[in-house]
Amino acid sequence: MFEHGVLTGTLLSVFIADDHTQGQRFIALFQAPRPPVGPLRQLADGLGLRLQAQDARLEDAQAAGARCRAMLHAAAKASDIANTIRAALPVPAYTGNDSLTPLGLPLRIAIDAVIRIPPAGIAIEGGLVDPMRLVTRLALRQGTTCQVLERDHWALMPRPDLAPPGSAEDAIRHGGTTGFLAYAQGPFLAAAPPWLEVETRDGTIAHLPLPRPAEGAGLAVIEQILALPRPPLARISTVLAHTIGPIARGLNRARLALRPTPQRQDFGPLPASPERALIIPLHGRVDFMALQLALFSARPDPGCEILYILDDPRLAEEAERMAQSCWMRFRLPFSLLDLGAHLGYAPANNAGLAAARAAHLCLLNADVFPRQGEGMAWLPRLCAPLGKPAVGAVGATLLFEDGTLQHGGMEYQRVASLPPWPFPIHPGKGAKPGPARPALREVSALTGACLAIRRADLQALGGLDEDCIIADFEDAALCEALRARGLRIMLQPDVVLYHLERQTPGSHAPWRSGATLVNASHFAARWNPDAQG
Amino acid sequence: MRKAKADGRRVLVVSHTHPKLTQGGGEIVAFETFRRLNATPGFEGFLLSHDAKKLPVRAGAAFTQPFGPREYLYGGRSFDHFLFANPDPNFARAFEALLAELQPDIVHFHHFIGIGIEALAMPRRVLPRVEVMLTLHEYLLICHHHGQMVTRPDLTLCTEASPQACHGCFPEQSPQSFFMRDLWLRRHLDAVDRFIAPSHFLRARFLAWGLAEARMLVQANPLPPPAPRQKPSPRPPGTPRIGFFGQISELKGLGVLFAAAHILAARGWPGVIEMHGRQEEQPELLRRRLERLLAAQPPNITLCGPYPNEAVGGLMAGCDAVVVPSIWWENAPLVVREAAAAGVRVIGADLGGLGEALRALPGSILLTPRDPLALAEAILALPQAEPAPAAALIETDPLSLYRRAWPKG
Repeated sequence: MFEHGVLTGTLLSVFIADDHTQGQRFIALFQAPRPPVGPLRQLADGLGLRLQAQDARLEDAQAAGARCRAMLHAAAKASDIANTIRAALPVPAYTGNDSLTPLGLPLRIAIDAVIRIPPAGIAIEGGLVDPMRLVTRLALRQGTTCQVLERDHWALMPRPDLAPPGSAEDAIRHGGTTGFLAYAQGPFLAAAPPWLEVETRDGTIAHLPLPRPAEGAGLAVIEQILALPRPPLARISTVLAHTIGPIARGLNRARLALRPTPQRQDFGPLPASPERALIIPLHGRVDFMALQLALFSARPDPGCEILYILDDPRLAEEAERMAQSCWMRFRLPFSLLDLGAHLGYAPANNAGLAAARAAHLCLLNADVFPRQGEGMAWLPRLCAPLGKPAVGAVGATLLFEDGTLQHGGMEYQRVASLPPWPFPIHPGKGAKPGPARPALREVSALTGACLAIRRADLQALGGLDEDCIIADFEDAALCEALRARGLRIMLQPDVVLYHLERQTPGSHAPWRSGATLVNASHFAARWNPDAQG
Repeated sequence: MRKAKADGRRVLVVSHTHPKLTQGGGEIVAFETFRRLNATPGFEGFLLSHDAKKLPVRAGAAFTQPFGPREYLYGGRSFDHFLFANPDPNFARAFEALLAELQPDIVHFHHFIGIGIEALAMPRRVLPRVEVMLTLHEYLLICHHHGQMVTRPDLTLCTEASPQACHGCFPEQSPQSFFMRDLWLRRHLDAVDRFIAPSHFLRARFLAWGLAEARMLVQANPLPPPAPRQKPSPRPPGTPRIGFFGQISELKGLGVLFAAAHILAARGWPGVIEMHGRQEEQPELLRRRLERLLAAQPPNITLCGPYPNEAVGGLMAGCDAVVVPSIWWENAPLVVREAAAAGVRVIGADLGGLGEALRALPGSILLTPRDPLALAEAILALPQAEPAPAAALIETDPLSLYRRAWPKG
């Protein structure tokens, strides 16, 4: 009941705070058809509740909204009802101007980049200087779309440029400074510029215009994001699942959508109807090709097509020269597919899959080499178990250069200081191989460094999982996908090759370990096989 | 020259350089083999050498023939000294064409530097019945340190290569790189039917490295016929003269020799030590060490500079003894055979192939390796030693290799 009439409507209410001096506080919200109706006199419901209002006044809607938000924030606990109330509260209209700076608060938000993340998300990279902890909520808005940028989800990084080390005064002015990367999934439109909605502790809402999101999907941006400092263990799962993962995968998908058509060159007469294909991605160095082809040529497999996939545009000329030279020197026919871009291990193998004609494929790393005199004689033996319909993939025993074990099948294990993600590990790695166990045996997973699979099966799966960024986990994901189709993953222990592992320059770059974490979290979310420890 | 004679054996000798361009032992031996082939009825010899980067490159022509119709020179410049690889696609093309044209029964490699180790596997692709031979001149296949099997940088003797040990000598190359080098080399060595070891010592080293015993044969390298005996140059009576012949380098024992010379000077020895040879291009490390040594040259040492190969007999004949104080294993040092031919006593280190050669030469004095005092005392004791043995030629018939029909091993 108001001074000038009675309003009937839904009462949204929440008891939000105990206050010893003033009792419990609540927010009541009415949809008023034609304000003002004058000061509030009484609240009543159909069940007999009557509350007399003392000193009630009808406030300006914006001021009331701000007060409500402040109360909601003080309630500390978010709830559905609080969100409903918050959504119904009036907010100042966005004028396209910065309304934060005029407030004169000791608060600064620096925006470094606004990037469109396909299909319809937006990533914001910036810095927040908030020594008084005034900001209670940041949301990304565009038209009617609004998404809260949850601080728990942010990837954080130091921003010494915003918080210079120095005096106590500096600490007051710049304390609470952090760089952040935030992600909002959208859907946001590509064309319209978004803005930041900044809510402060007193419930005030201000706006910060943002530039139109940058389009672009270069690997350099992904590398930068993957090179961000690793979040602490307590937050790493959240940050990877909500921020770094979707941003990196979104950009990677967009990047892969632009992949050029591979350029193929054949060296020598190719087999007319090959039974087997070797698919060998090249990245970082091409000299491995010479050693592999030299060794293969000692005992060629005329039933095998050899496909080198150059996943490194920097090396296009060198690879072509090397390929020509290898053909002249070793007279073993092969093909070179130049991807025209650095796409990653899964897309490179998928290009090989598209180019291959043979029924049996062997995915092979360029740093895997046969033993002296074996040539290619190992390959038909590796592929033989694929003749059994129940077998989905076959792997080999791989040795380091000192004769110790590099791979004899993989198992999943948790890694200390990381969330309980299953990491494929190589049991017995680095140990002298024990007595030979020549019988074909089932294993949890196989390394993609040397893995035989039916072409039809890999095609049915759509190739290797291209959401595995650059490299890592696509082999384990392949094995899980095959197993999900009821196929068995086998190790052929008496096929033995050398695998020198990580001889490529750049494989220790900081962003690579970031990629491993993103891929690990992606693999865990997608497959989550049992892991030990 | 296009078609094989019905009864003759055609041999293509392959070498890393030609004696008209450089005067190392390997090319002298390769050329001598080629020369004897063409001087012997029933044989026809051809020679393919790298030009050691001494001749102008003829664009578009892989092989040229500036020295004669049976001598081919290859001038490729893209050689990889770590893998002994030659990525030049034009070499493979030209070599295959040459093999098809010459139709040799035997291709005998005396080296693969400049040519490329891949060439070992090429003859059989073109000529399925051809025999491939390789003479091993030092330990290059085993050791990246110029095939010397002494460590870097401290030049201690090494007995066995391994990826880890070799990485210790060359930190800039990973153990994996050495492993790949090994895989690469052995792949091409698999194409060799017969390995010729000029010494038993070298043979043993390569057997230990894993070459098949059945494919390994010991035979001395052929040397050019000695020049007519030259008169020793006149010399002051009573001044003992000791000769050193060969590359002026620390690996040849320069440090040992200098230290011995200082000891000799301190003991009032009246003689001189004459060093004949070239300071060839050396790697940075050895060059710096050599410069340091030469900066403290003892007064009784005379550096005589390079000599033409045919003059060696006369120069040696003017010496009371020839010293060979090498600190590396050596293979089958020619200097010992040259001294034998000149009838001069040799004082040398009892080490590897050098010790083996000295034991075969009566009157030689064998010393503890790297022992300057022993060397000085051996020189001081020379007047009391037995007279030097008469001149002797150590020879085997190098063509006997090609007369045999070898079982495929």
